[in-house]
Amino acid sequence: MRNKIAELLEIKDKAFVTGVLVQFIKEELNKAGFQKAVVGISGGVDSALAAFLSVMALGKENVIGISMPYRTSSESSKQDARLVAETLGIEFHEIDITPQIDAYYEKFPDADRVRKGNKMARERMSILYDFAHFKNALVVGTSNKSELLIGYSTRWGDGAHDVNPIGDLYKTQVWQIAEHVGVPERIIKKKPSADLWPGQTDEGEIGLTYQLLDQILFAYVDLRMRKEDIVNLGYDEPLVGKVMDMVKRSQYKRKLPIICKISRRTVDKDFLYFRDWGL
Amino acid sequence: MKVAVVQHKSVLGDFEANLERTVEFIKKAIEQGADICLFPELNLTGYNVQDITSEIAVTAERLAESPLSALSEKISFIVGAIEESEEHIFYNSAFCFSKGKLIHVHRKIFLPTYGMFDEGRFTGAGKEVKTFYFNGIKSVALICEDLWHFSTVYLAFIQGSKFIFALSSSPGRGYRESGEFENAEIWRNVGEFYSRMTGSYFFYANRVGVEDGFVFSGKSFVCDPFGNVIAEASSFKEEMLLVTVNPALIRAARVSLPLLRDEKPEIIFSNLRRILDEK
Repeated sequence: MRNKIAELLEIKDKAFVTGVLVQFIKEELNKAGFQKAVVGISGGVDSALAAFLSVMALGKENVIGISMPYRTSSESSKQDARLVAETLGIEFHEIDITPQIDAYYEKFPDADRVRKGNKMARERMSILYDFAHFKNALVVGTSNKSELLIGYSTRWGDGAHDVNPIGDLYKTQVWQIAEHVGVPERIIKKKPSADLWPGQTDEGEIGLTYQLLDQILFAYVDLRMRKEDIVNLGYDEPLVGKVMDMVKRSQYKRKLPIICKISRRTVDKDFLYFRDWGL
Repeated sequence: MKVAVVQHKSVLGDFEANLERTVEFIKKAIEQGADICLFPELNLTGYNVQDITSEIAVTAERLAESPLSALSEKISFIVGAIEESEEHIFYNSAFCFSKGKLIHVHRKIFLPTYGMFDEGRFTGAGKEVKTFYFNGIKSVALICEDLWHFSTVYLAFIQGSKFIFALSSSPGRGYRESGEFENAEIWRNVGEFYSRMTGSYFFYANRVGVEDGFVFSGKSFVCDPFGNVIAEASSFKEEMLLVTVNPALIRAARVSLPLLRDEKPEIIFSNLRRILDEK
């Protein structure tokens, strides 16, 4: 049965799904009156795929890639970000965020690495939105379904963007589509990392492999199975519990701020309109 | 006899823009010699109308006063909109125009209110399946979820309906098929089955376009009375199918498979009575 779950995570027609994602970017941007996209390129596979899809949707002349390393970012991340931009032939900027991050933390020399990592993620968001205004573009998101579901992101940092073509793809599905659209192999094959401090890897921090994480998430979220049913499929009970707990504890990251209701109709509760209203 | 099936890309919440586009398509259908023209569910309003419902609703009388009535001197057609009743209840309705006037309104009976669907929150449920004549052919109009309940098709069948018009706004989902979403494949199965089992033509008009990341799955199609798909549209493009239909094939199908002759609605009725009484 575990094999069955793994099989269900396989995207059968990658060309068709790619076409859907491309169509989504094109229509959502054009309807809102935009032709251009800004994508933060980290050197990892998620942002590489988002950039590839954006180019397929909008053309290379309409996509701006921005790499925003900090002084501790690995040399290979910087190189891989450049490789994505060069492969696609898009406008590319490498903006070192060390000066502003270090200037701020001069006042707080004891800041821990998570605090600094969050600040870096938000600094990058701020630059992407600065460029979005400058270039009359929207920010294309790079969060995948696995990280969205377990909250492996910085609130208002890498989690902030305008449209997200890959947010319904689990990480293992991002790899499938990335390979299909021609993301360079070394980017697909390398160990996923937020690269917020030296030696950090996603799987090390999360505590299980993406294959296993995605299978448990798929059983819980897509198939709506109960914990005991997932365990009966042959998954380790403490791991299943841990994943389900991560999903629950990170719900706040997937929602906008909550408003205290006092009137008959409240903006976040019963004022229900799609964002594409009139578009 | 020629029938046009329009795969409309509606603008969410812009009645005027959608009406204008609808009129353009009807004129094009007339030019191309169509006798009948079918539009998707809620093509005049967009699908995810939520709180727009009460703002965009029209009464049947008002819609009858629009340019649509005059257009129907030359062609019969069905459009979808939010209907406001005399009692100020809103319905997801199919408006059938022919011979210069509005001849029939079908109110959607089954309102999906689960998963991504929330129709029961915003609209009331219709109560009747009635037939009408389009160009001398007894016909029925059903809306999307109506057709997932075979009871509606059965009611049309025993009334002698020969054309089944299915209006749909089906958001794409499922990535385990080739060249299309899973729901598009299911819809085709539904059409093949119903057309064969009722000896009727089955016309399926689905939306294309995107509403907040819902990518409508297109693939509108027509089945002949033997269960064969005789025309099929693409996944994403706004387009119009034009098919030649031959009512003699309905006769041929029903001669070789006299299911309607042998149907026993009185047995269904007595059994339903008993089952309901026993509950």
